[in-house]
Amino acid sequence: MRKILTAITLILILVSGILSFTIGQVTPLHRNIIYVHVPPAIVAMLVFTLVFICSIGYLITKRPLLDYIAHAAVEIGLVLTIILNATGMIFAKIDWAVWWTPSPRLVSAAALFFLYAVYLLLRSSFDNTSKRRQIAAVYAILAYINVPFVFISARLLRDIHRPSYSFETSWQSLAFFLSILATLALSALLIWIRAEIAATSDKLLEKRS
Amino acid sequence: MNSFRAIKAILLKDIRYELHGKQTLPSALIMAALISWIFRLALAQTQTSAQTVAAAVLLVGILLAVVLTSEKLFAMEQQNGCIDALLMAGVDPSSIYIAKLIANLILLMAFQIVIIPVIVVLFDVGPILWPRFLLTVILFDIGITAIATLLGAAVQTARSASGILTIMILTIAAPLMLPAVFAITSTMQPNQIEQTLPLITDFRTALVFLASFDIIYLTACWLLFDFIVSE
Repeated sequence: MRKILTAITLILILVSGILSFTIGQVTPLHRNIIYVHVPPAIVAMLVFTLVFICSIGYLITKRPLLDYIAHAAVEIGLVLTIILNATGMIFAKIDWAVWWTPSPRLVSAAALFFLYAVYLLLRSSFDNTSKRRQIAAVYAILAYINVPFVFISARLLRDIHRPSYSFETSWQSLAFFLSILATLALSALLIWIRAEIAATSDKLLEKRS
Repeated sequence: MNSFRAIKAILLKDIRYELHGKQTLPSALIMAALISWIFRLALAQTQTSAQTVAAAVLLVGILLAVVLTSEKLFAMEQQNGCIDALLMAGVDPSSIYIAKLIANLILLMAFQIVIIPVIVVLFDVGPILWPRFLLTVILFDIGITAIATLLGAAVQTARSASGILTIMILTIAAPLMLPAVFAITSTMQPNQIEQTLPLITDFRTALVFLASFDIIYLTACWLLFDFIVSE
C-alpha cells in the first residue's frame, strides 16, 4: 500500500513539476511561486484537521497509534507552514518590497507556525509518556480551536495580499491542481512513515525497559 | 462532595494562601511595572506617541501576570499532592477548574487595580471611557484566565514549566490582542481610532469577538480539564 502511495506521489510531483516549468508557467516569473506557496497552505490546514481529529480520538480511546499520527502530522504540518511562510516572504520582498507585513493572511500563516511549533516544544518537555500524550492532545485541540479566531482577528488589519488569483490557461490550472495533489500525497506518505518510525521506536524503548 | 461547597472551599483556600504568603501578586506587579517603564523609556526617543501603545503594554503586562498566577496556583497543589487528594475525596475535576479559574481572575483583577493607574500615569493616558474600558478588560481577563488555568495545571510535571507555560499562553491568546488593543485604545482615544485603523469595524464588534472567544474557550477548557488531572 505504501509502495503504491510512493509511486503516486512521485508521479504527481514529476508531472506537476514539469507542467509548472513548461506550458503551465505564469508571467512574470516570480508569480510561479504560487505552485509552491498555495498548496502547502491548503494541505497544512488539512493536516492540522487530522491532528485535531486524532487528538480527540486519543483522549477518548487512549490508542497510541492516534498519538503517533498526530505527532507525525504536526511535524509535517510545521514543515508545510515553514514553506508557506518562507515562499510568502520571498514573494513579498519581490512584489511588495517588504519581507513581512502585518496583513491578515501573513499574520494567520505566522500564527499557524507558532501554534504548532509550540506543540513540539510541549512534547519535548514531558518525561512521562502518557502525560506527554495527554497534554499534547489537549493542546492540539486548543490550538485548532484557535485557528478560526486567528483568521477572523487578522481580518481586522489592512490587507496587502491578493484576495484570489485566476489562471490564464487551463494548463496553469491543471499544474496548480496537480501541485496540490502532489503536496497532499507527499504529506500523507511522510506522515505514514514518521508515525511508523515513532511506533517502532516506542516498541524498542518498551522492550529495553 | 457538593460542587458548590468544593468550589467555595478551594477558592477560599487559594485566596487565604495568597493573602498569607503574598508571593504571586507582588512579583507580577513589579514585573508589569518594569515592563511598562522599559517600554516608556524605549518610546522616549521615537516619534510614536506613548498613548497609542498604552493599551498594548497593558495587555502584555496582563498576559505575563496571568502566567505567574496560573503557575503558582497549581504549583503548590503539585508539591503536596492536593489535586490527587481532592479527586480521591470525590471532588469533580470541573469544580476544581472553576474554583481555580475564579481564584485566578480575582488575583488578576487585584493586579489590575494597581497596574492600570501605573500605566495611565507612565503613558499619560487622557480621559478614559471607564465603563467600556472595564468591560473590555474583564472580557480579556476571562478569556486568558480560562486558557491559563487549564494550561497552568497541564505543565506542572513539565521541565521548565513556567517557560513552556508562557509560550503556550502567548500563542493561544494572540488572536485576542488585535480586538482587545483596538477596543481599549478606542476608550482612551475615541477621536483618533478611525485614523489609526481604518478597516476596523467598531467597538461592539471587538466586544462580540472577545465574548465569543471567552464562551468557546471557557467551555473547551472546562471539558478538557478532566483529561489534564486524570491519569
